[in-house]
Amino acid sequence: MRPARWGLALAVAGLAACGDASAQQGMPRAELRRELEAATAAMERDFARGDMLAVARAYADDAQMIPPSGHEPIRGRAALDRFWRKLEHPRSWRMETLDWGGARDEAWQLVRSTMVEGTEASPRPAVVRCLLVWRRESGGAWRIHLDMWTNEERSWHASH
Amino acid sequence: MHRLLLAALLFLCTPPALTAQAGSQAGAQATSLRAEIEAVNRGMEAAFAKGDLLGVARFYADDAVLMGPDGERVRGRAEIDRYWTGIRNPRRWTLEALDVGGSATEAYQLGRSSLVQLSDGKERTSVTDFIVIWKRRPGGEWRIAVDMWPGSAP
Repeated sequence: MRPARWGLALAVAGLAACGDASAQQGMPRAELRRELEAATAAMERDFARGDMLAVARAYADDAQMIPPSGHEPIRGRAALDRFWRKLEHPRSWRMETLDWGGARDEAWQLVRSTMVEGTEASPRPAVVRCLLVWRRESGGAWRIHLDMWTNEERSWHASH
Repeated sequence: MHRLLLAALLFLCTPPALTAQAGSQAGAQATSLRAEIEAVNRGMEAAFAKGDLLGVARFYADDAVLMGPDGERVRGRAEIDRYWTGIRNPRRWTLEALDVGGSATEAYQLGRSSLVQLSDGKERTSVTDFIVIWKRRPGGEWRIAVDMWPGSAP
């Protein structure tokens, strides 16, 4: 009798564990937003203190950045690190979440990004809209898998 | 009988078996998701090729947002319908799925669009990459919620 009860308890625990695995597919929307914004806030802080390699590390090793106007995509660890380290005189970066969605391990976020580079005498703000696709890595951290952006306003060459 | 059932349950729920099962399920799910999105792409291409631009627009959710290069923004049913029906002399459209992921209810697609129009008697092709966020409606159909394309080289 005792082994049977113990077995039943194990079976119930086993079923509960199986159930958890599928329940993890979903995630409350507010919690997802908090997690994604925590990741973008860390990027903003790294940018503001000039740690561009840390900004680059927010991207997965096989991530892809797709810039506007048909410029070549930036793919992979080395290219991503090079892209971010090339930025000189980082000053501030603000990413405002406009929309988001997804599940526990894969998510997307639409942000309005205001990045300011340049010297104190001549800061250069750039406002773009970014669509980010995030993936959760095995350690639990979110990393950017895709980053596409478009200019927020008409650029000079397009209006002339 | 109970022991057999218990053994089967424990086997299924031990970590290696669980991981392998989850892995193969995830793989099958990814393949099926890509196939579903590609099927919707074929529907969009077919509507475009027969000049049914309102049909193309109907693949977008009523509250979808489209973001093109240089601040181009289209939002909501009326603007989306106007945007697509404003395309002149549609010939054909090819949509490639370069990367598809997500869940059964929400998915992303990184793709490449090659859209051909007739202009002054000649075919003009616009090529651009795009990311689309798809959402499944309660009826089961996928509809575009977000569409961003950064444009082609000037």
